[in-house]
Amino acid sequence: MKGFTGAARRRLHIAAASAIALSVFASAPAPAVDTPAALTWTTLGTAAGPVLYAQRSQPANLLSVDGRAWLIDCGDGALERLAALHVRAAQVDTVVISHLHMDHIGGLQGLLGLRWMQGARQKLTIYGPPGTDAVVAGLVASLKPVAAIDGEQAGHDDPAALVEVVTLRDGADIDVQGVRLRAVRNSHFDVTPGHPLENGTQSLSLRFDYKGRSIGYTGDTGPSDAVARLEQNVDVLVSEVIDIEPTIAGIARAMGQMSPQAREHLIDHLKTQHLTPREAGALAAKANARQLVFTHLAIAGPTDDSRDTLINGAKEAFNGPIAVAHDLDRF
Amino acid sequence: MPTRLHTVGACLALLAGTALAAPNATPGATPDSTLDAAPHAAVVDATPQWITLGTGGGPLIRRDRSEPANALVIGRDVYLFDVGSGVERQMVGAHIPMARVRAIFISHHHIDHNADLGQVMASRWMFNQYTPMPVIGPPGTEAMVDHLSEAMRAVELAPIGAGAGGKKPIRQTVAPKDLALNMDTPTEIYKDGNIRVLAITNTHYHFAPGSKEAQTARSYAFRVETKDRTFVYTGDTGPSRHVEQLAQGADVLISEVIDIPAIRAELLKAPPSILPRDQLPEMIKHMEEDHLTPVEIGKLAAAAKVKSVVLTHLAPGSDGETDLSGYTNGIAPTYGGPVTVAKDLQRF
Repeated sequence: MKGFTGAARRRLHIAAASAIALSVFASAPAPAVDTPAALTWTTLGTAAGPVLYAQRSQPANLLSVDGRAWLIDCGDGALERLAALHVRAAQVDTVVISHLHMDHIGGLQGLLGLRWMQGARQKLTIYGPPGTDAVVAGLVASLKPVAAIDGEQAGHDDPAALVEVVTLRDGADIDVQGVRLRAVRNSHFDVTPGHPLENGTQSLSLRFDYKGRSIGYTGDTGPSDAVARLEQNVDVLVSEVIDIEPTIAGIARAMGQMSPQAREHLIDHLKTQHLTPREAGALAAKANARQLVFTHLAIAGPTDDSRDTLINGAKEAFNGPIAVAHDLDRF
Repeated sequence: MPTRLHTVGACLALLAGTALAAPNATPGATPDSTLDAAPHAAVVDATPQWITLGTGGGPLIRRDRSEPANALVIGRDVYLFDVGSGVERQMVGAHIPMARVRAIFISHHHIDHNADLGQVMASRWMFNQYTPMPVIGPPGTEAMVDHLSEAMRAVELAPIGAGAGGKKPIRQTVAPKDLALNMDTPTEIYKDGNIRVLAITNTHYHFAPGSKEAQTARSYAFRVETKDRTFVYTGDTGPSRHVEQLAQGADVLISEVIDIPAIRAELLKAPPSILPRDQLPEMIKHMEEDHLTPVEIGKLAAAAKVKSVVLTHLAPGSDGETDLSGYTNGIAPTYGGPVTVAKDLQRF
């Protein structure tokens, strides 16, 4: 039997029906984005992955561009944090991914699927490092069993038609909806040249300029002159940070004492592929950033318990204002 | 360069190690070979519990109720029934370790029931849980797992994730299985030392006979038998003789529920240009066929002689809802047992 009767078309999954009912609100500007500045940054998830926390969600951020919702990284829990701001998946039209670690992309499957099911009309554009296209292709393909059930019959398009990928590489400098988006390769994925881990993808730091305001985002990185050059004079530098001692102590508790040598290796790794508070401060100083905001918090315990340690460490190298972000803080 | 590999591997350990340092982190996320060596040790005295991780009906994400997901916990072992968006954080909230998940069951392929399958697969893999985990669901589940694995190939190859001499491909850590298209009697689909799971098709879908969808789209209800108690999970369904058959004598019937008057009120908020009013009666009629009203739940629970009823997948399940009587009104005349409108993370 070809085609569908009117009755079949109107047989909506209850959830889809609710979506229609609530789509009445979609035409109005989203309440969450009644922002004072044209370009603002909201930390949706401030934890470093991959361990999940009840209080800090995984890495994700909302960049509000004159009220349009962009996601900068989309770790697990991003959609729930957006819901707390009354932003629906279908309202997101742009995603920028810093690097392809799961804690930064774990929410993409839900974002693609729920946008599709919520009847999003706008195509989603995902900007990300080499390999992002394969990730998205796999996720879209994984929706086939879902689309086979509720696709055409419920008036939905092919999920593949709702998303496109633009690959960002070191040195990217592009215009996206009037935003100048720049990216450089940072040191998070640094491995010895020719090593098997050298697989062609890159870990990126990002910068967004719009209507006179500039926001820099380190993504995950260790110390990097390329990042300092990219983020010159930004109004806000949103930086990852790791508090090494409590983390090492956590490992010691979990696994017994490490040999001094193993401990040394671990610290070396953390210092070259992540940022200590002091190194983050040094980066902000080198970049001449106006303000430093910490997220991707690799810390133990509640955020505010580590606040002073993180800020004092950064102050050794940076004189400007420093904030330790909580989920849903806006900058 | 062994040193580098060592530190890369150590980084994984570090990240896992933070779990123990943080009181609210996934407690069992740290690789723990001691515990894994005897996964059944605590089962003997364990009372199985059903935990409603997410009690909202999707796909609009709410603040008060997470998307559909449930966990059956028995001793140290965990079984997930549907994995909607947010399931892993809900598990953290319920102190259920991802490392202890032994199998995942998916009732049907609506995105609100499976949106975090990839996240769950990746998390298990990240923490070195390599035992192939059964992922059992409707036709299409195997393809879904294959494609999710393809999607995560880039994650596997990214530095750190591929460290320490190479982690297994994610695809090798899952064992997906499509359920049979036709399942008209309760059929055993899984069994281990803790539980036996039976499934049957239900009536969530009503596609035109002969259509492509009617041939392939299936939705299932599950019956979980343990040594102590039996749980039956309706999944999404309308009134169904099959489910009635499956639920016979269950200790706990975990049922979806729809409050039609509340849904009608929600729908009437949409302007006629979006929702022409002459379509409303037919839409309501279809919802009554695809979902369970309290009246129908009462009939089902009474006919199956279940000992208690737990209501989940609340539709509309709106944020800020205080009066929950719309989910239960109509059950009592036919069913006299205890009825609970579940909250997220509640245990039964």
